[in-house]
Amino acid sequence: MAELKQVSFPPEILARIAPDISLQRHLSIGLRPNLRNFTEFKPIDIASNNELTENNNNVFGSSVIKSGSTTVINTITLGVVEVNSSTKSATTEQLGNAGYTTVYPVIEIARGRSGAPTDEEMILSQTLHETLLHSRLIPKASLSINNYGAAVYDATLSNYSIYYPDLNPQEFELINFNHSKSYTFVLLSHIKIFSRQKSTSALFDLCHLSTVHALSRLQLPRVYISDTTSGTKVSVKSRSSNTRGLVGLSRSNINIDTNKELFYPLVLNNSEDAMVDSSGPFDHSGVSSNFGVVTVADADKEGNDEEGKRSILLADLEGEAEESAILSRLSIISNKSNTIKKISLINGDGNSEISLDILKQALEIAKLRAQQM
Amino acid sequence: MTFQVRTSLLENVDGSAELQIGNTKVITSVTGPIEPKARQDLPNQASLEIVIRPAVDLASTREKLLEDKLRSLLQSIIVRYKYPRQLIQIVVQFLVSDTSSEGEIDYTSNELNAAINCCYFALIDAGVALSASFASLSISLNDGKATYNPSLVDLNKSDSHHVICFNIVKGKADKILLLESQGDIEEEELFTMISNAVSECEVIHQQQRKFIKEKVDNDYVWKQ
Repeated sequence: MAELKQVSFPPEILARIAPDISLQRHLSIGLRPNLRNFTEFKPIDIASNNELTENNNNVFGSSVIKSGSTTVINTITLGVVEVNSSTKSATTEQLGNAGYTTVYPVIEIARGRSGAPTDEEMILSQTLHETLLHSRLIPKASLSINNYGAAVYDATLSNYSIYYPDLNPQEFELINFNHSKSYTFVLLSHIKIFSRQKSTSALFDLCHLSTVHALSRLQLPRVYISDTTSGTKVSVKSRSSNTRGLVGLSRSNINIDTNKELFYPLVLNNSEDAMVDSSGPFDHSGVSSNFGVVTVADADKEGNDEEGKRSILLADLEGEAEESAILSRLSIISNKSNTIKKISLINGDGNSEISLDILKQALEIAKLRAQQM
Repeated sequence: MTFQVRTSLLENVDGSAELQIGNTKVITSVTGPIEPKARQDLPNQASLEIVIRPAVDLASTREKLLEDKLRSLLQSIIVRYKYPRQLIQIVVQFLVSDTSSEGEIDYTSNELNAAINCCYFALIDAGVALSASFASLSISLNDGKATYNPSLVDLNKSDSHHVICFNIVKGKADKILLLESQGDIEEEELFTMISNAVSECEVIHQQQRKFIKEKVDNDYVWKQ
């Protein structure tokens, strides 16, 4: 009779082929595969310079965040859309939750090939979009464009000068300016993630942090309306009337004034104090923290629980083993005033239950982290 | 809470249910266990394919996120090791949902709630093994006052909104399977809400049981 030999694998191969067993073995001796403590978060570095915004005319807010080798680069560009004039007059209070808007993120996780966005990228973008909307961070009023200027051709200097109703009231009165449409900015956030090491929920934390950080540094430009894009204006006979009009008067162009001296910061909700320095720009928006729960059977240690099993709360999931073996997950956004902005809890593993006690414990950690951030 | 439900209304699938809660109406089909495509094949358990289609327009990232939430819930509740190397397809088609018009913002909580509750009936109709019953509830909180199955108007005025799903064992809510909360939430408020939701979900489950009993009575071929 042939003897069946026991097969053994080196740790790194076991982690690949049986991530759940590998994770169990690590946890039963009190270690995580990434060598962090159970409720220890991976440190995050936020770049203090504003290079991306300064060097690119179309980037108005940006942030670069690193956590371990995972790098998140976030740039915010702007779009301008026309708003329906009927909804314009209502104030933020009257509109309730509809008085707030959000960003439109596109998240890209670099993995060495291009193609259609993966499910993970779509889910991350949509979660970020909905979270920022429901956390009531960006009032619609902050993005609406008031006092847009007009570009006027100066024949003597042979160039265009831009006049704004609030900055140049005298000159502006002289311009025959009848443009009654109202416009608002939309925030387009492009997030690139390099060297993905963390789990999806941990990536969300980074994306949320980087978007809030970029928003807190966002500078909105002035907008002006020019009649034609080219410098020449041709007088032609209009078909509908006999008066001579200028070509392109009806299809006026909306332009962004790249004069950085006229930029003004985006006003976020309840952020009067937070805008002052960089130490506290996350006041109202909160800090996102993620957790996982896994049950470990202690083989050698007895008497921890009735059956020698205990549920362990792990913070900031990272790596293949934790990502694939932990299905009970928890994501919490808490802010400095101890208000919870978002909870997303899923008990995906029948054996590892997130009980109310564990939820409480996670909430405490999330609050503490928001205070210290 | 009241809901209207009909089952077995689609002919060419293994199980289906149509459910209406508040302003949301949804139809769900379950096909399976069937043979999966090679890339969906899991050696030791059933794979799930979940497709959500909105009431208007084409599916977008909004539905992708709903699919993800529904999948993570259902993969723990369906006894997947019973169907190794097989596939269970679930298609959720919204028929009517609260659509945000000009000046209102979009909420997906009512849709998630309806989809979860409808999946319960469709899975039972298809005879897919479930490890426990489950019932979900959509809640909005305004100054600590809870509204169950809020309308879009309620949601728009609310401080926070929640979807909570309990797993139900022997008629009692056992543990939280899913909790999606957004808005401004105080911790105390949250735990009061959860404890109130327990009894509310048990009431939903009694209605579920009553419906399923009637269904089984009607479906049973060998009547005496």
